[in-house]
Amino acid sequence: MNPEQAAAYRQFFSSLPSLVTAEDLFGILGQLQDELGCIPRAAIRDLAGRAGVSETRLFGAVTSYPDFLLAED
Amino acid sequence: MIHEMKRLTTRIGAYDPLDAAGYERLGGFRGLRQALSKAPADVIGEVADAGLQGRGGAGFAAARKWSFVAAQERHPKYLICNADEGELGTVKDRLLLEGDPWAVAEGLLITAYATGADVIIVYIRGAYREAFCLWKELAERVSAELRRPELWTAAAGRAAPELRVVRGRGLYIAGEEMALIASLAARRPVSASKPPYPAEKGLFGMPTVVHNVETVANVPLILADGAGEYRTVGTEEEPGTRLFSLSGNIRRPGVYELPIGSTTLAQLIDDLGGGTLDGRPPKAVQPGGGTSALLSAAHLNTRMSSADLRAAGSSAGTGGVIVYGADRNAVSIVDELLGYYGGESCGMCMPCRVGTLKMREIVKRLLAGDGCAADIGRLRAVGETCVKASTCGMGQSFPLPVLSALKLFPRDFESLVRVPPRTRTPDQEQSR
Amino acid sequence: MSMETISLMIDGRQVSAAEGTTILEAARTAGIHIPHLCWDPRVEPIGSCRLCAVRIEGRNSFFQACSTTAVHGMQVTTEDAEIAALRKGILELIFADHHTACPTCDRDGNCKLQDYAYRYGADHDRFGAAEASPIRSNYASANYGIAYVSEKCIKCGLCVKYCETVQMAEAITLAWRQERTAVTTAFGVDLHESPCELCGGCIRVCPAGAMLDRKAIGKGRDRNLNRVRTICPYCGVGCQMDLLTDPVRNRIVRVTAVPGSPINDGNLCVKGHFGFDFVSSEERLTQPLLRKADGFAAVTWDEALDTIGTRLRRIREKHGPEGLAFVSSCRCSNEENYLMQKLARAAAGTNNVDQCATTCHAPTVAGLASAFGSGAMTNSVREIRDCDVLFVIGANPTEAHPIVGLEMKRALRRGAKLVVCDPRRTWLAARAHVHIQHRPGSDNMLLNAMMRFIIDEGLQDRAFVAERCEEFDVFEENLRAFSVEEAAIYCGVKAEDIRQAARLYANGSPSAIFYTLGITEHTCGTDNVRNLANLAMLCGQIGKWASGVNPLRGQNNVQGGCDMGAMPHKLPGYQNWSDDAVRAKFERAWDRPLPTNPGGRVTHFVEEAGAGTLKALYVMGEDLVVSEPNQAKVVRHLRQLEFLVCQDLFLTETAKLAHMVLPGACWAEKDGTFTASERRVQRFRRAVLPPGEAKPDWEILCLVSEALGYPMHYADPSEIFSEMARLTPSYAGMSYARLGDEGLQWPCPDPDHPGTRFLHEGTFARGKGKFQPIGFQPQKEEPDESYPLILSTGRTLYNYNSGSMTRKTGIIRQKESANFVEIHTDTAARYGIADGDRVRVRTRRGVVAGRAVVGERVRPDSIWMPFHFAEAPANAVTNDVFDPETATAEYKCCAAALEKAEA
Ligand SMILES: Cc1cc2nc3c(=O)[nH]c(=O)nc-3n(C[C@H](O)[C@H](O)[C@H](O)COP(=O)(O)O)c2cc1C
Ligand code: SF4
Ligand code: SF4
Ligand code: SF4
Ligand code: SF4
Ligand code: FES
Repeated sequence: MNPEQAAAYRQFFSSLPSLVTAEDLFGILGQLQDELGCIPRAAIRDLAGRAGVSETRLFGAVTSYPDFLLAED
Repeated sequence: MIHEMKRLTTRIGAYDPLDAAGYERLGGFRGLRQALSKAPADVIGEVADAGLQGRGGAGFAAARKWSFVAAQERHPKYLICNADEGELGTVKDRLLLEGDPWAVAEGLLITAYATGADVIIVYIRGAYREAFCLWKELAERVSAELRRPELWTAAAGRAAPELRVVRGRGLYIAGEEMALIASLAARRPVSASKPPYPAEKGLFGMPTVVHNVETVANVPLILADGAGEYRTVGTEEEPGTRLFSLSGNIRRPGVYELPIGSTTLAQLIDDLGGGTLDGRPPKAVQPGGGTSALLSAAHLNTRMSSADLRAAGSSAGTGGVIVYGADRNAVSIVDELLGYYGGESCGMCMPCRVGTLKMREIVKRLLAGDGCAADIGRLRAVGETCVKASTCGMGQSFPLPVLSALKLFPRDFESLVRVPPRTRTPDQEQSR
Repeated sequence: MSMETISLMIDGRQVSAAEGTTILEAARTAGIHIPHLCWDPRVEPIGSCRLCAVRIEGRNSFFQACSTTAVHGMQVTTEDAEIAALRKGILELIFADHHTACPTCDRDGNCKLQDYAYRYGADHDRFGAAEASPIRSNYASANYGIAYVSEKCIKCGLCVKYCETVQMAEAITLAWRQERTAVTTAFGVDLHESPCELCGGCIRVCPAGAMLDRKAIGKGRDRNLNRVRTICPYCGVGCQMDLLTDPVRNRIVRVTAVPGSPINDGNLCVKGHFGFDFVSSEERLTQPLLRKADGFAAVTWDEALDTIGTRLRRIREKHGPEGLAFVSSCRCSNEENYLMQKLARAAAGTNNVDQCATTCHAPTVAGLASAFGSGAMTNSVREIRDCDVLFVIGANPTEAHPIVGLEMKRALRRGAKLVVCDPRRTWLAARAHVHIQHRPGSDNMLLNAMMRFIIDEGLQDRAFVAERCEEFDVFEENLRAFSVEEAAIYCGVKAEDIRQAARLYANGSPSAIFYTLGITEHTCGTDNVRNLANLAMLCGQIGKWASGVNPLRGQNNVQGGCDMGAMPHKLPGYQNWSDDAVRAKFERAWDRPLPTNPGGRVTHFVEEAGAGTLKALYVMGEDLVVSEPNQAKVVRHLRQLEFLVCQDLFLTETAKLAHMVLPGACWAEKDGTFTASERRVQRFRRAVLPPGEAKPDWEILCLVSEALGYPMHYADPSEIFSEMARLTPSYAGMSYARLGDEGLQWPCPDPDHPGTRFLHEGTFARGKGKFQPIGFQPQKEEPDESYPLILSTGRTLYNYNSGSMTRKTGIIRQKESANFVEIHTDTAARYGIADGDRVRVRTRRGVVAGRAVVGERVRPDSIWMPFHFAEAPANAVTNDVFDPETATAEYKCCAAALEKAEA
């Protein structure tokens, strides 16, 4: 992530509700990808925490899509 | 000379896709109103009488799915509109999504009413950016329309379903219903053995019905004018019209709507498509999308119905008709197809995960001139194993074009074999 | 929920099965093997390998036997020419994705892939084999215990499914697609940095030799190893396991377990799967050691026994039998515990014999015996999954009793409701329907309030109370002084939570109580236990399948140690030596008069050593210095002894103070039986030979007894067992032959008795269940200005007691290497402590250091620390005040101060 992306991510994340449901996850990941051009590692951790699912599971899912790009923080 | 019959496509271009009032002026919402005046079970009955079958490839009776889900008591129930349209040579769903979105929305609302679905999710192929943006906006308008008491609340006696729009992420297999459900649950998008069926244990373990866009677009018609009227076209087993996407070596590619079974493949290609580019009969045609078996020129008189195409050795699939010109070599055709499908296995089950890669590898080897005679046997063996042993439609069907090519055009393969077979005893060779 | 039985034809044979079973399971029960790679009875079917394809009469496609439900009247063909050809085809594709290298594979000789390839004549090379990748690192490369060989992995998903749904750790997943597909942790972080709990399940389920025990790689192929069925030597759950040993090199190569085993269903925890490095540790004692002026010197067994005999006899002559005391061990076998108390009573002539249960579950024995007449887990582990409501108090089973924890997870998956009362937010607490995070030491306040509420609401089981219990009135009278509101304030929890917990428990059908040291390790431990008994009787939640009161025992053989009478006031089988008939029976069998001194408990031995009244102490398999509270005092007192003998595997802290140290054989080097928490007596078996001159403890005890002038002769442990069984009514029907692989649960009074699944059915062991009014007493040491926090101690998943066994295991050290202190986020902020800082915990008795783990696991008024680390012994600071009835120390709480230590 470059600094702009990092800032955009912080902005994005702070606008999310504190509890997201598993129903929203796939959509949020997509939004992130569309807005930032990547899915930062931090997002997997943060979203997993908020939705009460495991980081492991999200990682397994995200790596399966050609259109998702994972980025280191 | 045959002509199109516009039932599903009649409104395309006639109203601004976001304009509900425009849609209504052209006869929209009659189906929904009719549906809401009946009990859900009667709506299902009407659709059963109409004999509506899925247009997503498998051709399963819509009303049967509905009654399974309607019988479930757990909530929330989900209705997923499968707009991932990833099959090669198929673009009909896009046309409906962008050209007559309200009809799709109306069909979804009727389906939700009949099945008791609480949430409707439209899963749109990632590459269909415009369709996605349009539907994002449409979703809001749909909920606004649903606040009109005569359109939902008063009649249905329960809260209007929520409409969500989700964008796919470049994965063909996400169109397969089990993988689609996994994808929406933010799990690995892989298919799964059925049973349990989605109707019983679908998204988040809840009752779920999945439908193709075109299937859904038929629903308002059935409810508006009744099953009897619907059945006036199409065949006895397969009533109604279908959208055929015509592509490949063809003068006028495009999407054509025709009564099912009314036309032959040749008529479709020549009368509507204007014939092949060089005017010669095609080498081969895939009548049902990129995973349907090839038909040769000898089959061009086959009628475009599931039963006829099945009898000819292929299938109606998604209605994507792909025409291959007379100059093509069958191996290069399957190489092209495997170039796409070979990378699309979800990897859940072993025959397909390995089989896709191995078939692609063997065909490449043949084309490169490094193949041996045993490779042809191997190709057939992988294909047959995948078809018989795979979990989902992907593994069961991606080898079909290859297997049919091996049957129809064996010379194309044999002529590529350059390397003599490794020395083996006849016994060994047979056991292979 | 009645289970219908259906019947179907499989390969022309009539098979009956419970409704809902799959074709594969139905076939299995009939002994028909349907090939499968991705199926395991413990997880939901995956359906990835496709090998289990079968044909169903009247249907034209194949069906997967693993995921298709058997239907009444179905006709199934599991194999014909076409199916065999299909399987061959599938296997050949699988091999194209598997680096087939049987000659160098650890699994060679015990591999389904290999067997099926042979059976169907599949050519592993037909589509070109997967190549061994040049050493590419993956998530497990840095792990000491687990190795993942990606080129062998056939991506069946079994390991992932096990990790996700059985262990519920969700540490690993399949990720990426196509050729890249592989098992990994999130972002490929090192396994020991992931949520992995090192249960080893992924290794045990892998069908393709892709998940391996790292340390076993190259140490022997399955075909060359011996398989010895035995019992885990760690906690009291009593898991069955198989040791794979190299008979030539005399070593354990790896451990595994088989689904369907009686208690653990093939599951193990990190200790069971990995924790056997201690067996071959360099630090094992190999010779008797005698203390000389300048330290220990190795001596011969003859010299050692001679010295012991002479000195013990001399002390007995001079100070009477009361000058001697014997400490037995819950890690030793039933036979050895039996011999130890026989040695004390018959050879030495004293009731001064005890064992470590004093430090944990003596209140259980005392408390449950007074209420029900018998002090053990009333239900079995297998019943847990059928509980409707689990009431877990003062227990952290997912860490301390991981396999019980797994069964609780299974119950949760099946929809059970969970009430957890624990000051810490444990794994289960975080998933509980009600979590009561009450103040440490306020259990009775809470329980009394719950029971008061249950009576007020009329939720009690009146019929059960009237028919099966007595002394209800005094008990009820006592409850009048309690109320939910007051308890809520004192315990620091929401009143509604207390009500909710009470409602759930009382209404569950059925409910069961589970507890451990959080209940017993208090000055009021016995009262706590009695009050749980009250609660169960009040609601009629005892004496049924999946319903009762269940203490989870700490060490592998605490139950057996107590059963064998290795305690001062009871003979084997909890028989009273004051009873004349019992005395006569034992005196006849042992040919000696029984002693009549009351005898003391371990804590008394330490006190008396300090006071100079105890002269000689014989300790088998216990490290008193580490396990008893207030360490400095223990060392001081033990130094006063005239003669201290330690019989152990290692030179423990206690052994370092001894005059004579004897090398014992560990569990893998001898035969015997352990009694698991659920009262199941199970055989463990010799797998390797002891190092050097070390001897099985039972042999040593016989030799010592002889040296004391009371020869005992047994050819092997089964003879000891027979003698014990003859004298012990609850074991009377058992013999080695009957125990077999499944074991037997006591009571088992005669050779035709099938053993007892759950206790107190129809009637209590003592006749009527006894209600006992329990008052509330606050803990002995309340926090004050100088010591403002409540310190509790406990155990972690990875280590075991004083750590002398577990901490010799690399993988465990890698995961959890040093002491830590859990601190609430708010408290940490107040003290300016950040996660990972070094901190010091001070109490009135001492100071220990550790790393701060800041979070929400503990209450703001409390801190928590494990007790496994000898260099930072939590028990150096805990309070040595005791339960007056059983002398169990108040480990669970004392007042403490916290400070940040300089880096
Ligand atoms: C590999 C694969 C891809 C698929 N892709 C789609 C798709 O993109 N759109 C679709 O509607 N159905 C697709 N299907 C079919 C769905 O699984 C499912 O049968 C269909 O959505 C059901 O809708 P219908 O009953 O209306 O036809 C696919 C199936 C397979 C095996
Ligand atoms: S057939 Fe292919 S796409 Fe379908 S489940 Fe198996 S691997 Fe996945
Ligand atoms: S896992 Fe089995 S088939 Fe594979 S190399 Fe090892 S022994 Fe051979
Ligand atoms: S050891 Fe257990 S917790 Fe760790 S990855 Fe394997 S199955 Fe999961
Ligand atoms: S490591 Fe073993 S269990 Fe896990 S997916 Fe690979 S082959 Fe299956
Ligand atoms: S065991 Fe049935 S698919 Fe693997």
